[in-house]
Amino acid sequence: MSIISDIATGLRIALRARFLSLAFWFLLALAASIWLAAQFSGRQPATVGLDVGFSIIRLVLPLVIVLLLQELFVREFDRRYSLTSLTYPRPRQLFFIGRVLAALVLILLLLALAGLLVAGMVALVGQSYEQTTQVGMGGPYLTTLLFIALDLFVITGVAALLSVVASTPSFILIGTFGFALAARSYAAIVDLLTTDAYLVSNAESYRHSLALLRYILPDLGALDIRMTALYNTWRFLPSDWPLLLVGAFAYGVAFLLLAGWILNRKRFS
Amino acid sequence: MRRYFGLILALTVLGAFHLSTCLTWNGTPRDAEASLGGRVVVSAPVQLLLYAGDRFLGANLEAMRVAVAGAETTVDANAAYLIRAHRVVSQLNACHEDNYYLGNALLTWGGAQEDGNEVLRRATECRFWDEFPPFFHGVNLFFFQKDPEAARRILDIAAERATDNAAALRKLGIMITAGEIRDDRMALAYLTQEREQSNDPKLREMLGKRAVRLQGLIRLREAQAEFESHFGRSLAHPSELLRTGILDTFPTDPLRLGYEFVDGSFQLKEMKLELPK
Repeated sequence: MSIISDIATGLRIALRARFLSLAFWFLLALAASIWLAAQFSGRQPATVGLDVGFSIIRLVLPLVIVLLLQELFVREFDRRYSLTSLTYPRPRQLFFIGRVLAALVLILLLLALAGLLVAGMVALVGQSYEQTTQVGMGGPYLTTLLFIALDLFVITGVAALLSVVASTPSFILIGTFGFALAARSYAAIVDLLTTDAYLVSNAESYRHSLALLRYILPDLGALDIRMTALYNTWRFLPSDWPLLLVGAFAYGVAFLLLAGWILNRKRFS
Repeated sequence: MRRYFGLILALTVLGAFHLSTCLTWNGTPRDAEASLGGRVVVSAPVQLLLYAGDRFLGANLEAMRVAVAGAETTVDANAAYLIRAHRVVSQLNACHEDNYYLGNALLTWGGAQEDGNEVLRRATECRFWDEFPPFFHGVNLFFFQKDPEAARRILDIAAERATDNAAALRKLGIMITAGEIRDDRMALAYLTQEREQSNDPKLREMLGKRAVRLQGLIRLREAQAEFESHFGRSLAHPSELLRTGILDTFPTDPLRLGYEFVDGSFQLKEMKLELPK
């Protein structure tokens, strides 16, 4: 059997698990929050709308990833469907790659739809007020979305590993969100602790030990380059962006490979 | 009795807990110093964790909170809240346009010029293309800090960035250093213009109050000038204005901060606050 049929199975499972209604409610909430957020801004409604749109995408899509992978792996093992889907002549790798690709296809499609919706909403809320600084809805916007896609890919890798090793579904949720939270915030917290040194005692050594995290976590916070789109200038693109991209991509691929390897030797009771 | 031994033991120990609570709790917060009153502003690194590592979301939500909740506040504990909130937004996203604009309008003109200028300075640095933060900052430096040299330096930054009125900004800087500008008149014109430009009724009302405050200061200074030309000596105490009948009453400040008479001239009174830096 080819990989296509594995992907198709994965897609069918996700659609049966009401993925479409989940996507619909997500997009509705996204549009509503952009519109509401723009009402609160006196001088830059389009910028704030775009900003909140990015935030919602980055908050909710990891949750969608977790729900998808729970459906595609954990439920499969729970319901003993794996007794048929992992029968001998079919290599387990194929099953794994097919399912992960199905999840990635769905999540990237949803990201693209959300991107279109955000662009439309920003154009809509931007009509009411002529901003001095326009938002960059061309190249900067697309690049920001691509960087978000990479961020989601890394999170998918970690979630896939957790869903292969986890014995309870909620562990995937907690583990993935814990990872995303730590990877997205540690670099910025290290920066901010220089200004708010009174928060922790001995802030300097705390900062240094926190900075050690960069050896085990990718800097997903740096992948958030939305300022290029918010203020329509490439100056905010980090100068070492190729390395950042390569590093994050390698991290995601490594976790996927590890997950595939573990699944290959997993014993099902 | 033996059957219930475990239960009784548990209840007894629970009773000890209850007793200790009753003994320690006397109805007041444990750390009375720490509860200053006023609204809570969470510090920037903690906000970052609360908003899932998303500093932009934190900045936006905090800015909305200021725009909504900060509107009717003027002095006392609420002002401290405003200052901390604007500072936190400026740390999370220094480029936030609403934050520097509101921060300038509310903090600087509400008696907390140091903090307003700090927000503007960060905005000048972050928004490297925008001429308004350095313009506001320069005007503030001239009007509040009485530092024409620094004001001119920063107005020159604004002139470099400006697209259409670079020449006017440079001229303003030169006139400031030459001492050709009555600072209060200029400030009033600029405040009125800022009020006209605003499309938010609440902000208009607040800027209106600040303009009235400034008009009060101009009245006081005019009265002083009239007194000095009339009697040929400098004013020693503001009450002389009332005694000689030049003023019927002192102007009232809608922000309730008032004015002060320092070294022979009237000034806007500054707000004094103790805050962690």
